This record gives sequence, structure tokens and C-alpha cells, in this order.
Amino acid sequence: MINLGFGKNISLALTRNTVLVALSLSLVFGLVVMVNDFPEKQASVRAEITRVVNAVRWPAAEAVYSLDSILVEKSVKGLTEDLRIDSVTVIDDFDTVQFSFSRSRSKGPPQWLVPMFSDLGQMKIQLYNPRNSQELVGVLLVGLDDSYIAGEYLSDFKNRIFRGFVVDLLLALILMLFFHFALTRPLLGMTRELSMIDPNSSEQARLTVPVGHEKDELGQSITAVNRLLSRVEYVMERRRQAEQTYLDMFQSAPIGLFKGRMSDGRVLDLNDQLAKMYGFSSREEFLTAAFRPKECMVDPELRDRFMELAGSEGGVSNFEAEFVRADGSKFWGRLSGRRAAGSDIIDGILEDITARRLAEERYRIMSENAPVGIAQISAEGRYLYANQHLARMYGYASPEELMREITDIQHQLIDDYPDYHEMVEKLNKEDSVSNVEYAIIKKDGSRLWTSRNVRAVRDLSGEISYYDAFVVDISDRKAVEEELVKARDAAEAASVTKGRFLANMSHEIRTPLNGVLGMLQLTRDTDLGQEQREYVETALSAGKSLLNVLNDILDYSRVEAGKMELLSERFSPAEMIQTVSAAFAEQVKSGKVKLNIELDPSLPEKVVGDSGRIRQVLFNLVGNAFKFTPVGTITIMAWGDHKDENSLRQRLLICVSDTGIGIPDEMVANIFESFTQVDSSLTKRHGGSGLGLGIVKSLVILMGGSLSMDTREGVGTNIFLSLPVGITSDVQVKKPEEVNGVDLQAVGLNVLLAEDNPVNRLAVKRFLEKLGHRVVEAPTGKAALAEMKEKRFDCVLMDIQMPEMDGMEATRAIRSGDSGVCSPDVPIVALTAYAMKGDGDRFVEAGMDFYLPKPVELDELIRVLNNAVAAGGETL
Amino acid sequence: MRLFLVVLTGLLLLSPGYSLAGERETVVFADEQFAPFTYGKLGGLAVGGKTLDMLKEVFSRLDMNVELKLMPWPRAMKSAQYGRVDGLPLLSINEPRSEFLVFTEAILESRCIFYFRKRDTFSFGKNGLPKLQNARIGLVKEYNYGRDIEGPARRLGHTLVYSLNSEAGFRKLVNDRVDVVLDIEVVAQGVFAKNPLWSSFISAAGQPYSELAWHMGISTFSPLVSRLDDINEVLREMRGDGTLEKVFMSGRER
Repeated sequence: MINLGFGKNISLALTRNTVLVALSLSLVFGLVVMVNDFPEKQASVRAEITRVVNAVRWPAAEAVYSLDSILVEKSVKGLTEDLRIDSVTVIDDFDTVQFSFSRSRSKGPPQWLVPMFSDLGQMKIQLYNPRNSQELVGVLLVGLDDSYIAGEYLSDFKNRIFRGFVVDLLLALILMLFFHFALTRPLLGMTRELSMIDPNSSEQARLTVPVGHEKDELGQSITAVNRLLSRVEYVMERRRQAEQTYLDMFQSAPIGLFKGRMSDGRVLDLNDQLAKMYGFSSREEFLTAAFRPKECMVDPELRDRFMELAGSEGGVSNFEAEFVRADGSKFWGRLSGRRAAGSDIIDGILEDITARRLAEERYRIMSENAPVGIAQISAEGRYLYANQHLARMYGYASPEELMREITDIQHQLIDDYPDYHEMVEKLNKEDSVSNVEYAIIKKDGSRLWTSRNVRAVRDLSGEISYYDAFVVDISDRKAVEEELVKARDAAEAASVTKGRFLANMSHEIRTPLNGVLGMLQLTRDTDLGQEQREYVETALSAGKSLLNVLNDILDYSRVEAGKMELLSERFSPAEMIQTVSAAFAEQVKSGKVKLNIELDPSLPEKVVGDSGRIRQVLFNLVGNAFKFTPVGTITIMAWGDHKDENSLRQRLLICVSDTGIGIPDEMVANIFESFTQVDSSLTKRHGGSGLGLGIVKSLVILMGGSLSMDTREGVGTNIFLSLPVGITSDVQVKKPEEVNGVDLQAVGLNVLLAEDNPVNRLAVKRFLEKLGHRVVEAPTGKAALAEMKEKRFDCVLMDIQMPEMDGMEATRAIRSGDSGVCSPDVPIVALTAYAMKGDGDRFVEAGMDFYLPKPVELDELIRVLNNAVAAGGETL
Repeated sequence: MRLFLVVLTGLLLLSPGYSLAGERETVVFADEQFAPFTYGKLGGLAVGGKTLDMLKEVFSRLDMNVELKLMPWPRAMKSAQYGRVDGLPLLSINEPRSEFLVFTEAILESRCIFYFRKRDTFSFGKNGLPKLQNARIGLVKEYNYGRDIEGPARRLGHTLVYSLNSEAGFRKLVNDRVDVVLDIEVVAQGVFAKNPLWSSFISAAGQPYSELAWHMGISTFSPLVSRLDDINEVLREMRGDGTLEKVFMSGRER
């Protein structure tokens, strides 16, 4: 059955809405059409009436021409029957009215509409003789009834609206039937099915999609409802499970749960745990015993307080009190509860905290007796708790006094700890800091160094509740540390003094040694007997040994100070090994020791590294082998190890093998330590400072290499050297300082020799003269400047340390151009016993071009002079 | 003064009522279209007929030209009444016409006779009206029948049916739309001459309803009024020299 109630039937409502919309649209469109058609309507009315009038025009003209009023009446009678015409008058050309007709105007239409048609007015038609169109025979006057025309127009509009309404009604009927069968009936079916669903049933309830509606909105809606039903079933199932889970949890919870009535304190429901807490065996026993838990609170004031808080809006949490069980025993409990809004029912939790209370008491005692300071500090820096030890540590009689007087730890307690904020930030970020050390101001104003571990404790919202701090007095340790710092500072100062002492000693030893060696070299080149020559040679050898010792000491000093820097230059490993072996030609000549060189094909032709330091290492190793190989063979083996073609590095492998005395096992570990030798007897037998292998080890480590040894006492020793070196093709190699002009023998130079030491001056002068140069001597820098004002020199050999004016000052004066010297650009060679690292840089800074360390070797002097003349003083 | 005379002379020359020296004055008459008195198209000028011949003869003797416009008889009457024409060539005298026309001497004598279908048999009373009950009498509008017909006919219960011309009236008689037709004998003869078959269907009453004379009517608005004596003189001459008879043939009047 179709329900005719609009509010209860969708199809009727839809139909009603559709019809209302259609009617509204019809009305609106009708009005629009009416307004739009008005000019057209006016024109059509005029056209129609004109057509009607024209139809009678010629008969009327004929009748008027005949002055036949009857005929005139007949001819225009048709006009009188047209209700749109309210008057017709025919007047002949004699001004005689042949016919006259008029009727009253219609009164039907609204008066506001009539004026819209008043423009139509009256029509005046000239009547001409039908046989002579030039002859006017009369006039036809036709009056239009604008009221009737307006009414007709309104009637037409009403008819149009009415027809639209009828069509709408028919449409509504069709739509109603359509909506009923297509929508309402399936919806009613769906509603019927829905009403039959039992929400408590475990059976699956699904709505049936009506036939033919599988894919339309209704089918989709039912499908959606089915999905919803499925979801509801799922939710209901989850809810049942949740309820069961809640019940299970309620019963099995390790804490007591209850629901009670505030007015009489009666427990309405509880779990077994709560029952057991009060000494009952089960929930049922508790409930039947009519037990009043609130009356079991030992302190009645606390009980009243709890009831007051529980009844408040926020409820009560963690309310701790002592309770009495049914058997009279007591226990500590923590109670939380909240009354439901507008209800007398309270839900609560009771937890037995007796064990925790006991533990807290134990912890309190432990804390009070702990040998460290323990404190709880608020986030604002105020003490919440402090133990006795902390109070005593800070000079207070009791924790209470400490907490009372210290309300701002940062500003009242801490003595100038600039990193305090950083420490707090780290603590807040990481929740703990350890071993934070700073001094605090004790009650008596004295400082106390403390170390503390601090832990941040946060609440459930993540905000910091307080800090736990454990403070240890480290005043004694701090005192020791301060002593250590002082000792270290003293050691560092001593080290600086030592370096300065070494530099001075190097200078002071080199200066006379320069004279000794220079004189010996000069003497060697004089006519000497065999014996005298042997003496001179021996003296020279001893002097050079002394020089080596001196160099070893300087190198050791540099390594120790970390000031040893490595050069990067291209060199030939094979040539370097040959050079080293040539240095031992004298020893080989003795015939007791044979020196072999075995170069593997894998040895690269050129490598990049500090050739001087590698040569020094190899020289020490070979020299050591000679030292401990009285008779036998020494072999230098070398090869390359370049496994990775993409690498810019490779390893240079060198082995120095001897058949000497070997090294005892107990000494192997220390053989490369400084100041260490195989044994004191050997030291005496073979000499040496004990620095050589120590420097070797330091240099090898500095170069990134490694050193290993395979030795057997009485059989011999193999020392393996592995050094990383660069590949020449891809490494920018520092140019060698020398000018390839050694062959260019500079002769006949005017050389100014500025040297204060007469022995050295004499030795160098003799060297130069032997080389064919002319030498002018100057004992001071000032004298050198005076000489240069008088004469032009090709080269100046300038000592550094001189009286009156030292070499550095003199060089600056020469280079300044203000001193009046003849040749301010003259090459200046620093001739000095200052052989420490950094000295060369100072000389360059002063304007010197070359550097010749003392003691001066003749060959070195030749090389430097040649370079100075050839390069014109470009490089040092 | 001289200028005044020149202007006055010019105005007189331009006036339609006056013709240039040596040009004959034209007078315009109006009549209905009915043979053999007038021939020509309605609305136009008559091109022939006895009436035109008579007018031409009269006004030629008065050294004047004449035109005869053909129009329905009521319009002709009205045109004369309003002075749009100078006059009507032939009509009888009655009181209404005398208000706007002045008449010449009689030109023709004529009779008004009732005509009826031959199959109908009825007689006429002393009053000249047919002895019929509720007879339908056909008349021509604006015709003068010499004596009142409307009053006696209505008193006797007859119905008067007007036509625009005589031919239309006789057509109604042939078609049984009227029972009798009262018409001027001369005019009726012209109608029968035009429709010879009607003569076998229609008979004329033995006695005329009335007898009357036809005159030339001059509109009181026309300058010809002043020439009325001249016209009568010419008519007398024409009757005297037999021209008038020659034009109308004897015994035929309207």
C-alpha cells in the first residue's frame, strides 16, 4: 500500500518536491515568457486586427462609395463581432456617419495590466473608391478594447500555467508510481529486514539487494549497510571480548578494584584481590560479610579526608593510609577513587603497598647512613630531600637546615661553574649526567670540590618531576690533580729549556768543530807524510763522528718535540742505496765484511718521499750491521710492492741482512728504544750514543712505515723496513733546490766573508782561496756593510751570530737598499752553526738566499757557491 | 494701385472658376450608370448615352463643355447636394431635392410601374399598390417615385426592400427575394434591354403607380444657377427644333 503521508513516504515527498519545483519553474518561466512575449503579443494583436480590418476595407469602401449604409453595416459587421474591437465607425467623404458601433469595455483583467495595451489605441483606415484609388470616399475608425486584449493576454497566460500544472500533475503521478516501485518499496523491504535483525544474535545478518538494484544507489546503499552491519558485528564482538577481558582483568588484577556507595560506604562489587587484601577468601565472602572498608582506615581523620576528596570533581589519587583487616592485622594501602558525576557510586583501586613502605623505610635508613651525599632536587633547583651525609659535607648540622637555607642551588651553592647550563641542558636531554665536577660553597664559605651523578625523574606527561643526585667529596683527588698539573707545567717548561739548551749546545759545539774540521781538511790537502796523513784522516773521521752524534741529538730532539717534518721529493731508490753503500767503502776495503746489494726488478725506478730521511734510516741500519758484524756479509735487498694499480701509494721494502753477532732475545724488544744498546759491554766495544736505532724507529713511524727484525744470536740479524712512498707519475714533486749547475765551476769570485770567529774565518777563507776566489774578511755585520759600500761582491758568506751587528740585521740592511751598499741584490749565503729546525725560515725572512750549516764541508761550499752564482740568489 | 490690379488679375486667372480668354468653361454633372442613357465605367466619365448627348447639345449651345461622372445614384445626389458637381442631368422634382437643387423646365415625361413575375397573379388596388398581404416591394435607393410609396406600403404591412440600382432590384425579383418591383419605366426598359431573358419572366402592371417629369437639376452651389434661364432657353430651342426628341426618342422618360 502506498502511504499517502508526505512525511512518511519518500516517493510522495520526492514527487511533491518535483512537482513544486516544476510548478515554480513553470510559473517563473511563464512570467518570463509573458514579459518576453509582451511586445510580440502587442504586435500580433495589431497585426491580427489589421488583417481583419483589411478584410473589410474594400467592401466597406465599396459600400461607402455607394453611400449604402446597409451595405456598409454588412461589410463591417465582422469587426463588430470581434471582441477585441469595442467601436467601429464608418464616415463617408461627406462627413456623414454611415455606420457606428460601440460597446462597453471589458472589466475582467487587473487594472495594472490594461495600460500595457493602451498603445494599441484606435485604428483609422482611409477608404478609397475601389475603381479610383485616388478618390477618398470615407474613413473607417476601429477602436480597440485594450481591457479585453489585456484580459485575453492574461487568460492566455493562465491557460499556459494551467496546462503546465496539468502536465506537472500527470508527471507527478508518473513519478510517484516510479518512485514507489523504484525506491519506496525496496526501502520498505530493507527497513523490514533491518527491523527483524536481532542485535544480540550471533548469526550474521545481511540485507537482500532487490533484483534489478544490484548496481544502482539503492544496491550500493544496501551493500554499504551490509558492510556497516558487518562492522557492527565486528565491533559488538570486540565489545563482548573487551567486556570479557575487563571482567577477566577485574578479577585477576594484582590490585584491588571495587565499586562502592559513598553514602553508606558499602561495597557493591569487588575483585578477589581486594577481598584477599582484607583477609577474605573470596569476593563472595566479602560481599556476604557486609564489611565496611572505609571504617577499616586506622586514622579516622584520613578516612574523612579520603571521603571528602573522593567526592570532589577530580577524585582522589594515591591516597596512602593504614588499614585494618577483618582479623585485626594491619596493612598499608594506596587508595584511588572517583565518584561518577551526579552519582553516589565510586569506582576505586586499592593497592597493598606494605612491602613498598617497608622498602622505603629501608632505603631511607640506607640513605641516611650512606657515605655519599644523596639528594632529590626540584626542577627549579630546590632541595626536596637531602641525607645527613650531604648536609654534613656542605657544613650544615642537619638536612632540614640545608633544605631550609638553600633554596636556589645554582646561585647559592655552586661556585663559578661556567658549564652549569650546558650540564643542565644535557641532563634534561639525556636524563642523566655522570661525574660532573664542580666546587660548591660550604656553609662556612670554604670551597668543596664535588663529583656528582644526577638522574632526571619524569612524570607521566614527560615533564621533569625532580632530580636524583649522588654527591661525592673529591677535594683530596682535586688536590692531587692540581699537584700533577703543576708538575706537568714544570716538565713542559723544562722541555722548552732543554730544547733551547740543545740549540745553544749545537751552535756552541758546531762553531769550534767547524774550525777543527776545516783546519783538518786544509791540513789534509797539504803535503803530509803517510803517518801524518793517517792522523789527520783519523782526526777528521773522529770529528765527523762527533758531528753525527751531534746530528743524532738534534734529530732526536726534533722527533721528541714533534717538530720533524718530512719532504716530498722524487728520488731513485737504487741510487739512494748505492750512495749509502758507497759511504761504507772504507769498511769494505778492510776485506773482513762484504757488502752486497740485491735489487729486485720490482723496485721502482723513481719514487716520491723524503730521500734524506730514508737515506738516514738506511745509513743507520747498515752502519749498525757493520758495527755488529766483525767478519761476514752484509746484504742490502730492496724491492717494490705496488699491488693496487689504482692507488697512488706503494711500499718500498728494504732488508738489511748481516751475519753478525745477532741480538739476544731479551734485548729484541728494546733494541729500537732510545738510549738502548745490546749491552753495556758491547757499547764499550762498539761505541755509539744509543740514539741511532731510536731515531730510525721514530723516523719510520713518522713516515708511516714499519720496522721488524729477525735475529738469532751468533747467526745474524735481518731488519725489514717497509716504507710507504708515492708514485711519481701522479704526485707533484717538489723541485730539488739545487740548480743543475754543479759542473759550472764558479771561479775568481769576489767573496765577502763575514765571520767573527777567527778560526772559522781562516778556515773558510782558505777554502775559498783554494777554489780561486778573492776573499775580503769582515769580523762583524757592521764591517761587512762598510766593505760592501766600498766594493761590489759576487757573493756574501754571512755568519749569523756576530758582535755589534749580527748576520740577520746586516742582511736586512743590505736588502733594504738604504745602507748604501753597491750591490743590494748580491747573493747572501747564511753560514751558521744554527742547525735547528726553523732556523732556515728565519734566514729567508731576513733576505738570505742560501744556507750552509757548519761545520762547512768543502764540497758543500763549492755546491752552494755555484748555486748562488747560477741562480742569482733566487733560492735558499 | 497698378500693382493691386496686376495681382487681382493674376488671382482671377489662376482661379478654377474662370477660364482663360477663348477657352470654354466646363461644367460637371453626375449620374448613375444605366444604359442606354449612360455608358461608361462606374467611377469614371460617361463615354456615351442619351443623357450625355443631351448635355453636350445643351451646353454646346451655351458655349460650354460638359463632363458626366458616373457614380451610384445616392452619391450623385450627395455630390450635387455638397456642390461637388454642378448638377444632375435628369431627375424628377421632390421636396428634399428642392433644398439643394434648382430645376430647369421638364425635359422628359416618365412613369413609375410595378413589375412582377408572370407566374404570379394578383391585382392592384385603387391606391396603385398590389393587393397582397405582406408583400415584399423592391425599390431603388434615392429614386423618386413621384408619390409616396413608403408610407402606404408600410401601412399595408408590406416590406420595402431597397437596391442600389434597378438591375439589382429586378435580379431580386427574378430570384424570388421580392414579390414586386416598383421602377421607372424608362430605366426598366434599359434593364430589360441588357437582360433580355428577364422579359419572359416579368410582366408590368397595366396602370402606372405614378407619372412624373424629369428635369435637369442644378446644384445651388454651382455658378450654373445663374445660367438657369439660358439653359431653359436652350431646352426650349432644342424641343422646338426637334433635337430633344431626336436625342431621347419620343415617349421615353425617366
